[in-house]
Amino acid sequence: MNFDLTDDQRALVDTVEKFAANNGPKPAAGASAEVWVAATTARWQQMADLGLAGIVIAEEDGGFGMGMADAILVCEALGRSLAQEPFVTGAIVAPKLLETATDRAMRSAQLRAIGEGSTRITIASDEAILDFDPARISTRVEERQGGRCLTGVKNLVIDGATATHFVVTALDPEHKANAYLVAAGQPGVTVTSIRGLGGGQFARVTFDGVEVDAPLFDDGAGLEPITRAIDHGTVALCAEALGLMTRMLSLTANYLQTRQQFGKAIGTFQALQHRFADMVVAAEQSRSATYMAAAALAGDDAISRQQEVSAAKSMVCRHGRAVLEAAIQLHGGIGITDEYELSRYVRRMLEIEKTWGDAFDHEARFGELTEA
Amino acid sequence: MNLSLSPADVAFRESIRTEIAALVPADIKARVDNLQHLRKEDFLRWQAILDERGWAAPAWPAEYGGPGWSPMQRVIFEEACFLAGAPRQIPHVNMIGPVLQTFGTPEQKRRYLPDIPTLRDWWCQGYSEPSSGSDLASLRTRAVRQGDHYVVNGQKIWTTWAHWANYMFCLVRTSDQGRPQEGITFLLMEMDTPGITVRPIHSLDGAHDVNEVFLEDVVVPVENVVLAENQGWTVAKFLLNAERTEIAGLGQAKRLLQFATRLAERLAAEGVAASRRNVFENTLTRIRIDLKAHEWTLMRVIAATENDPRAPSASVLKLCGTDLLERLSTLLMDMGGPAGLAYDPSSRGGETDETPPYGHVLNGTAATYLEFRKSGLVGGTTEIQKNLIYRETVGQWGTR
Repeated sequence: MNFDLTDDQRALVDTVEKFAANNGPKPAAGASAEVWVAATTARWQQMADLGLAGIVIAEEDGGFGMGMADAILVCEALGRSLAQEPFVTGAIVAPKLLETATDRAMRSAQLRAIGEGSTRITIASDEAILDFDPARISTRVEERQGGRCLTGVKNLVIDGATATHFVVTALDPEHKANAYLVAAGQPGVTVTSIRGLGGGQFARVTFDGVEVDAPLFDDGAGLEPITRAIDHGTVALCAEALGLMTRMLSLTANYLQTRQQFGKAIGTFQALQHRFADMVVAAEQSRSATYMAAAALAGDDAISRQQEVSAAKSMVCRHGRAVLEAAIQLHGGIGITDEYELSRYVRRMLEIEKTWGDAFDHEARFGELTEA
Repeated sequence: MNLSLSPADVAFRESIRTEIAALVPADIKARVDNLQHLRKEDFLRWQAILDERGWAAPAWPAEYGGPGWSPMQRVIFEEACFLAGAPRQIPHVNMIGPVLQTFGTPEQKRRYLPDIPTLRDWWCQGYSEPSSGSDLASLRTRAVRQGDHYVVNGQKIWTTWAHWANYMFCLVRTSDQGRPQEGITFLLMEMDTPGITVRPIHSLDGAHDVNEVFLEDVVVPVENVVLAENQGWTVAKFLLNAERTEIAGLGQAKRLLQFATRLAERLAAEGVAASRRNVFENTLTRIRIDLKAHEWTLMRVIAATENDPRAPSASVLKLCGTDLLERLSTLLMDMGGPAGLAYDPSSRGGETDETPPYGHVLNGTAATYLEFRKSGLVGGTTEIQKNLIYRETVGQWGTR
């Protein structure tokens, strides 16, 4: 094992940081969906031109064939600068879904389009809003006049407000879980934007008799291709969270050393030093768990992959809370001020926490897999 | 020691609960129950209803038009309000009112007291400054005496509802002699005095409650000093003591607990996995237990006589209240699950009644978590409270 970055990895991180620093301001909070789509399309094309959209796509499909060790460096850098691009859905989850699709020609064409930046595909899997369980599916596909049509509602679709396509999980006519590719502009698709807690572009998407092609995955593959892709996305989010924690730590460190009360820097008070030390420990443990989970993604064992991913996500959720709460407390009033940078990191951290399962969901999955 | 509530207090509790429950307007109750952000109009309407009954200033003695309740009766009243879904008490009524009754000149009492309970005058508190938070005594907003008035220059921050207020009571520096506390004066000013500028601060939850108040060559008549020049710290300490029951957060905690209990039922009804619900139920149980003890701590503080060595300090009350509010708001955030994602901070405190994507109740889970991150900061940080407890008690404990 070696945790030093290679020259190539350092260059990759450098590329992401430059992109994040130069990609201009986001549309205002109240901007229309069209404005957001246009802005996201422009920035996504920039990311594709820099080679970031195709980072985990195989070279034979036009990508760069990099592994998750590289991808998580990109995610962490995006988190540090709070870039909030649809990278995790568009460049991690979508390729991971499509690379296991049955139809080779379709698969290759779709992966190529992702790498070129012409599509932003997200996964539309969640229906429940009070917990995370991608296996609970009531969206269904029915045979109709020789074709298939898909009907159902997906809630809180991540990056759903700006995506060009959805990979929609649904029960096939035999009530077996599979997934279908649907374009956002297709007749019968209604996208309602939901502005997320941390500024994310979520959507509630309704599918009303939408015509679909053959399912993406082999008959009988079940949920595994979907779970596997979401697991990759979950680790990518953990890495983004590491970037957020890094920034929250550095904001707090600076504040402790510069803010004066009672005639000295508040960082000279031991109670505050200890709280800061707790933040450091939480961030380090989160990093270890994220690396562990990224390593497990490369393996063939689906059970241990899910365990490691759940271990990492539950830990990042718990420690993310500890870090953000300590950062706020150590900052005092300025820490709960919307205008101050910290507030945006806090809310994005909470958004990550609630995406694809929180500490409770992942502790439950970890527990079930351990007992099995 | 007598551990039971007096028969008179029991009877008072029964009657006040019934009466209050019948008084809260349904639309206000709905907003309060959903943990929505209230508007000034909501507070004004509720205060007018209380005023009709003579309950608008619960901490005021009868001689100033208050109900003349005992501290215990006030707590019973506050609890009844929270249980009925009424808005929280406007803190300044119970703060500046007793301050003026205790230290005010006859003229100050005549001029200011009548319009405080009705909220015709809305007061804000100008204490904290950008460089003086925990170290409040270091405050630098300066009032320079020029004949029969002061000229005030400086800046206040975290001033709650300054944008709704027409008066501010504030602490200003009038001397650099002696200890920093000895050069502070308690001064009243009208918010429309030239030179006062209020700038909004939006909080983590998106709401606009607190403000920055800039003071530039603000002319304030000398008769607006309360008590005397350089005696402001005495007034400030008195006021801090007056707000100690408010600072216990008991009513707020009970409201959040009520909300959490209803949400737990909804989670069960909507088929959330038992493994997940069990975690929340266990947390809820512990909070319920701790809240009961907290209530008794409040009773011990309220009923304490001057010479009771076992009375807990107000800091103990504040710490326990903070702990409960932090845990309850965290629990709500957890119970809300993915639905919390749909909370849009830019919608908080808006004038529209637009329903959020997944309803007001689920919206309230994330809103409350974000809002209550202030618990360990307002009214003296957790770290400062711990310092106080140590300083106040280590000597006593050492000699036992």
